[in-house]
Amino acid sequence: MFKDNVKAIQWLISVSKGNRVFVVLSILFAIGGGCVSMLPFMFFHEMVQAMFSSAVTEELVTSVVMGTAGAILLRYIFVFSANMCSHRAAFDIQCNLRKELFAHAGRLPLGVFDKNSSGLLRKIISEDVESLEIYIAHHIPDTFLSLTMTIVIVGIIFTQHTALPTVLVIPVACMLLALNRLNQLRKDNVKEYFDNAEVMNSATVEYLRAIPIIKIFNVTVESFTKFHNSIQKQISLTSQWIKKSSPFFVLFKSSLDLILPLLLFFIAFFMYAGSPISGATYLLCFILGAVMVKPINQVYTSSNILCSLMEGARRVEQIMQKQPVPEVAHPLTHAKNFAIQYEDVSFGYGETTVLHNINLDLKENGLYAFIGESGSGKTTAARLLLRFWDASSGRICIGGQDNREYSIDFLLNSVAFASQDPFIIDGTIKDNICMGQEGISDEEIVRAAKVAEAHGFVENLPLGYETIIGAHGTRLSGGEKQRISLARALVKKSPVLLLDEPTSQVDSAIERRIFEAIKRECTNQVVIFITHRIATAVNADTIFVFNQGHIVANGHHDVLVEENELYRRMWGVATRAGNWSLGVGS
Amino acid sequence: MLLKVRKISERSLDDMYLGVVYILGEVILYTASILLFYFVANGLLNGTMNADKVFMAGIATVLLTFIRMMLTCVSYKKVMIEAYKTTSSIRVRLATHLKKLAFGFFLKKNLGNLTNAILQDTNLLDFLLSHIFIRWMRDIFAVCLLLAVMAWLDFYLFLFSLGILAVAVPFFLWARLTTIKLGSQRLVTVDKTDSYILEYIQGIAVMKSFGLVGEQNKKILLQLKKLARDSLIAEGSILGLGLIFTLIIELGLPFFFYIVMQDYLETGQLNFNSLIFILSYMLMYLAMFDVMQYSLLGQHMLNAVSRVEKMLNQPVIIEPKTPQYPKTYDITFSNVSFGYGKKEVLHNVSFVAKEKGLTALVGHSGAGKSTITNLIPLFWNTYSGSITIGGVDVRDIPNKDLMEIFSFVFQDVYLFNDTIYNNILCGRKDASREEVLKAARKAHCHEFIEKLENGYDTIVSEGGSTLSGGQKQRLSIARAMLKDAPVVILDEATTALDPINELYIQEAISELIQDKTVIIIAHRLYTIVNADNIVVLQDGTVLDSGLHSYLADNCSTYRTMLDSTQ
Repeated sequence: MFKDNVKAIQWLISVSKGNRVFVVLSILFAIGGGCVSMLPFMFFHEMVQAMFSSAVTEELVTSVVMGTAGAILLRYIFVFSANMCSHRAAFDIQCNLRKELFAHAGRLPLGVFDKNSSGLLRKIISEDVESLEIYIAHHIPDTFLSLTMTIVIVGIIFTQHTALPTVLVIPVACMLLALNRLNQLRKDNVKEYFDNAEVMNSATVEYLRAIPIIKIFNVTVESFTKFHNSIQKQISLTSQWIKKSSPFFVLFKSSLDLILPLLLFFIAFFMYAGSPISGATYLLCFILGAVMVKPINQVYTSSNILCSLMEGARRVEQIMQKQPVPEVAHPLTHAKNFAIQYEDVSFGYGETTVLHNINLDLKENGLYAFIGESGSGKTTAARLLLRFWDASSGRICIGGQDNREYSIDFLLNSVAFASQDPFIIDGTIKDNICMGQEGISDEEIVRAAKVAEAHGFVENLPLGYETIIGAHGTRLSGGEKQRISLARALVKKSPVLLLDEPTSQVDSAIERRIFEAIKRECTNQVVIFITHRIATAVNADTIFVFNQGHIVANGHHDVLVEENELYRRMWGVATRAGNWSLGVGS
Repeated sequence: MLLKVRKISERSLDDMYLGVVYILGEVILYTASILLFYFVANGLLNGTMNADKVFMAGIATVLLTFIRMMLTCVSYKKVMIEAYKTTSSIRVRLATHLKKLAFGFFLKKNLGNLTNAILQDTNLLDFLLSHIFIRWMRDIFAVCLLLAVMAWLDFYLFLFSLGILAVAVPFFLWARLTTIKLGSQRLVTVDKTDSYILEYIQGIAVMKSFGLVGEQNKKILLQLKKLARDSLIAEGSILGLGLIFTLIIELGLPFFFYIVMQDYLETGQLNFNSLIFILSYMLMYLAMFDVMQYSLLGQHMLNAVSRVEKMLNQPVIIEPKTPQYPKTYDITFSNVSFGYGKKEVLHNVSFVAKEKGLTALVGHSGAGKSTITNLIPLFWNTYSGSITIGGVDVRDIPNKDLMEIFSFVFQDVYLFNDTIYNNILCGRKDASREEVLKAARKAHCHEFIEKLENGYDTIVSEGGSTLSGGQKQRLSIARAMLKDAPVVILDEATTALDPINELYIQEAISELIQDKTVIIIAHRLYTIVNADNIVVLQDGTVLDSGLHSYLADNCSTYRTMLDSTQ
């Protein structure tokens, strides 16, 4: 545990950077607070002594009262300052850490961000970073305050009577013993407990998810039994744990209560020995014994919490250590032209190869369609262009240069991108289309929206382009969101336009109109349009037919229909599917 | 509060009360040992105490301490075990109750949020009931007994200390209010930051391509700074107020010092009681600060309890007193109005879906199509007007039998963590293996299932991520086919699938709806041109209904919809 603590503190120091001064100040203030914390009790002691030796004077009254009040005030100032410094440091560290994580996430290959890892990354940036606050803001000052207090208390007892600290030996030994035993027990039991807690939680989740099915299909599912069993197990586990651990827990909590009787034995012993201890000292020791419980517990709790803090820290570090997209030493920041060639590109995620020897030749100002079944590799092929991942063999050229030669910023700037998962930010429709770019006229926005077939429904909204959408605004349908996302990509007027099923949730007739408008409007861009709907793409300059990671055919629709078996079959199916209508009993 | 816990857990909580009694005993012994200590101190200061007496007192205190430890131990055991049992029973009750709720509850609520809330609340109750509650009680008892001791020692000073508490406590209440107010304000900022974080990560490709990464994203930077500033202000003011509260109480000390010493100077008499009064005051405020801290935590517990209570108070579906069963399956809506909460979304909807006919609901998103299909199987039961099946009011049909009438093919396919075989089988539990395979073949599932490594025994993982969207839909059609229910409710998918998948699904659906009463939410008008009745909806009202040919001539909205998809 000690080792973990040291590691955690080292990590905290490494992330605190510009805020180290606040951390140090907070610690110093806390130590200061600890030093003055016992003064009121010392004044109490002085008062009692004076009263018994009849040495009370007006001056003494003043000095005791003012001294006590002053000490208390001073402690509060120290404690408040310590906490303010620590909070300031905590919130700044959080802010900086998040900034760094954001920046780092921005440098990572886009391929890292699948659904799972996005969730994890969000959890790390919001929750794990959030959890740092408790430790930095609260436990740092509390720990140092408590440590100092403990030391001061032992010191005072020592100065009262050199042999007196011995009364602490047995209680503290009992406490450590209990603690040791508790930790041992915890180590033995905690895994089973947490494993079961996890089973219980996931059983709850599964059960709740299954409720709709249970209701619709009138079935009882096994998950309910699982849920019940895990709860039963939880009860028996915790009961066992409580039975085993509570004696030690109680011993740990109340062993310091033993100070009181030991103090009495101590006094009796010295009375027998003929050198009695003063009543004033006795009173002082009594109150110090009562005060001592809290700081000692605090030190223990804090070090436990620090260990759990490392969990979050580890996850943060995991992200920070992920390799950014590699860039060459002097990346190119402009291209001669935007003709794109894929030369024998193969690529796989891990073991399985998903693209085999892809060759593409996309000329400037061309309109290209990628078609194929789900999982045929069209999306992956397109994403390689933006270096979501790098090809495992072969190369991708833009303007005759390998895309790895360009700077990432340049690549991303040159390619506008819309995917089938529309991305909407909290803001107005206009914000969503412009994405903070300066100097886009309303005309351009409307023009892009018209091409994306978004203008119609936007105009029908009471606030038009000023309508707030996103999580806290007007709800748009999936198809509407897609069209806003598409308009955003169009308004950017970048040399390359990469549209990955941008209108999959839009009616096929509208999709066809969008495609035709793009063909008409985006004449000086390289456009790659990926779609499931083969009928949409009939007017593309070249159609690339993907099948199981290969390009099996390419050419104009008329040619493909004549010459390619697979394309012809897909076309046939598509025409049949397009004319489908329902009839009952016929 | 315990009464509430008792109500929602339906446990007697006797052990809990017993634990509290034990801990009360412990506190009484604690007070006794303090009094014994005062007695010894008094003797020491007066010089009337001899070593034997002190030694005896020591032995007595050791005994008291051991008895206290034992009492605490027994009390903790009782309370903690009872606490875990109680929260377990709350968990089971919640689960059982949720099962009885109207299905619509699960449509409206984000199931993920609901689950999180339940997990969080029950885990919080676990912790607070088992760990915090008993300590809180102990400290409350301790404060009370110490106050009693103080009153007994020196009533005059006791009144003073009450006065001090009266001045201090408002600051505590203020601090609490601030905690609640600033806490919830900060929560808003935190939520907003979280949504920005999510936005950033989800849209990282777009962010990158618009140069909004890291330092360049001013919006996020500003939000992060705002969060840091707001947090500091909130924490600072809460901390400040809390410290003022304890400061006032502690400043009682020099005040009492002053009184005691002045008294001494005036009378020349040492008043021992007032000295130990001061000691008791110190002990009292140490316990008092703990009470305050625990009561802040206690507030969380109360909140959790009332959230659980609210969930348990959600109305369940009431089974009809005189159950009736429909013989035929034409479905009639007459003057049905319905709203989620206050906002009415359906207004006086009336239409008839003929038995074995195809009825299509068309309209823009938000027109009320899904709401209508959700009302028929009583997913919501709070509508006005009447819905009948074969002349029988749906509310008079027992829920179990009502569900037997329908097959659903939704856009969102519900699959559970089990084998593919069992996922189809849940359509009709007593179906034979042949029947299951037959349904799978008819729904074009058989081919892809056979290709899977474990075939029909493949486990569908959480949310069905092992299967593609089209495959999941076909599975749900197979399930519906196996069920062979007289009424089919269909929500046509909006997302484009590749042509082959789409064709398979279309064929499967055509197979499914043979000789059935069908209600379909249609997005593509050409699929329903042959429908027996097309209901055109707009903003929750029926604009017109009839055959395609009639609507094409007479309903302008229908015509516009027709135009926009051709």
